[in-house]
Amino acid sequence: MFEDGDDRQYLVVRNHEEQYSVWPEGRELPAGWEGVGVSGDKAACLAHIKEVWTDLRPLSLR
Amino acid sequence: MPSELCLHQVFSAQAALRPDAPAVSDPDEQLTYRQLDERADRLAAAILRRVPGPGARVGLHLRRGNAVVVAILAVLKAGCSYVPLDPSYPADRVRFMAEDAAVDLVLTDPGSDGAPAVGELLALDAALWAPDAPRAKEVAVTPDAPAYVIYTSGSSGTPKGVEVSHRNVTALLEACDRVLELDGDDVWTLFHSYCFDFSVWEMWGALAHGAKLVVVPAEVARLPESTLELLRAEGVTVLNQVPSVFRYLSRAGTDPLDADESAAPLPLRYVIFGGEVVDVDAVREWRQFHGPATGFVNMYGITETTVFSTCRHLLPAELDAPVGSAAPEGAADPALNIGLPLDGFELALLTEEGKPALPGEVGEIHLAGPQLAIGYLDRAELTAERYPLLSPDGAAPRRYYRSGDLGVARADGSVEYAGRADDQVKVNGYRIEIGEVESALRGAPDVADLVVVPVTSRIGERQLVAFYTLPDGAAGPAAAVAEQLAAHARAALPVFMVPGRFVHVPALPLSPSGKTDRRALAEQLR
Repeated sequence: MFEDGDDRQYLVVRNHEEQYSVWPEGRELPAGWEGVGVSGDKAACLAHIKEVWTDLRPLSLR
Repeated sequence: MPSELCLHQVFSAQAALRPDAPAVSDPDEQLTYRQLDERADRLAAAILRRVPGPGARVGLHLRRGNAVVVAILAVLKAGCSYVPLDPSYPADRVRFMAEDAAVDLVLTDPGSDGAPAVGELLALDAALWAPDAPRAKEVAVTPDAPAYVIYTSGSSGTPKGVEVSHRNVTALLEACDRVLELDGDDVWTLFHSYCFDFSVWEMWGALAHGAKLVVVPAEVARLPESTLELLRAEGVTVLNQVPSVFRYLSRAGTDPLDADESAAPLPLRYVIFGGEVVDVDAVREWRQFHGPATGFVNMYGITETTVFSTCRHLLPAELDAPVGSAAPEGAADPALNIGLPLDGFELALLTEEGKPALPGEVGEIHLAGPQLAIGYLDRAELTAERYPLLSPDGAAPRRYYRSGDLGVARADGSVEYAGRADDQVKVNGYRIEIGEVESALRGAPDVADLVVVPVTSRIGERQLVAFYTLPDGAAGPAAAVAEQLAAHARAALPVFMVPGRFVHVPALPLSPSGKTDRRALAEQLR
């Protein structure tokens, strides 16, 4: 669980279905997910996800 | 059941297997599997003539009846997803949901007004499925396509739509087949509104097994005596209940004055609980009266993880204990024990630090698996936040749903429910974000400040109570403001979210940390 208000830095990550999530910076990326080049505190990462993830359906459905 | 099928294909397989078996009934008529299939095919064709194509969202603004089941099947056969728009909700809320989901079409009852003017409107006239109406050709739909969007209360003040796929529901059905013995001879009720995802389980639990689904009219569902009559008349074998509603059914069904010694025993095989903590005493009383033939099952779940996520069969020893018995020392309380995760689920209890909770330690319930919904419709930020990528215990990271429910692991691996991590409450099984109720009421005129507090009465009933203060120098009597507030609430919120009491206080008490002291307010009512 990533607590709200934590002061860790996160990366915005995306999987092959173009679903987004956040992942603690500095930890090895989970298999199947890649960074999109955006990092920051959790709120900033979630705000970025809000901007770019406009179609929430898995890629295979679009 | 192979999970590569879409829900409507699961139905079609049963329709091919038992075309003349009863599929669905309401007080007006009964439809066989073949008749239901044909009607849905014809309505699907009518839908496809009115929407841009498969993938569209279709609102349902319908009274309870067979037409709801026909409509849901038809929407899915058309490759679309359905969005429940309950006609009993305030018009503003219905319009919000229809607009938020951007429905292209709304199916409504003939002669009904009040359907939202969003997209095209189609009244479900019998001519739509007359024998000469064309049937839709099969539409290619992948099992990952959305099947429905159900709105739930949102803490920020607006409801949010949870988008659920065909595969999410077929995974639920497969998982439940491993813990329940269900077949084509069963008779189920569609007891719950199609706005509540309990109905998804009721409808598909019946149709996927070739069983009969009895649509319970709203006025029958509201009256426990009428519900009992229906259970007997229809020979219902599988009944799903919210525990606070079952409490009344148990009271009505165990009244010695009404006992008919000559009546045959009810053929109920299962009563399946969902939505809240089980009232074990109500079950004990029922069992003393009706005997031990019925199994009682506690299912815990969330719309975001497709109806049910864990399951536990209540044990005869727990149910034969005298009314009022507490759980034995060290054992999980049967009211709170939500059992084990359903097949396919990974359940993690995580502490505030994100570490797996130790046995006996409280953690937040996190769930991973094929029943995790697609997400919140058009709410990427909320979806990423509530469905985080996690690797508890150093395992390979997976997408989890963070439930906001707390639990404690027992020695046997079962989980005991331990309340909420936030201020979401349940009243009669409905999920309510207190923040949404407060946000709606703070907009009312003549109120300075207001908080809403859940209160439990002496007989165990949950109720919302709104405490409000008046602006300085307010002239009118506080009672008039209470009436205004109640009217404001009824216009803005569905009935289950409207506080039962409005209490004027001179000032809202503060706790030592400076927050409104909700506990002190609740104490005032005792």
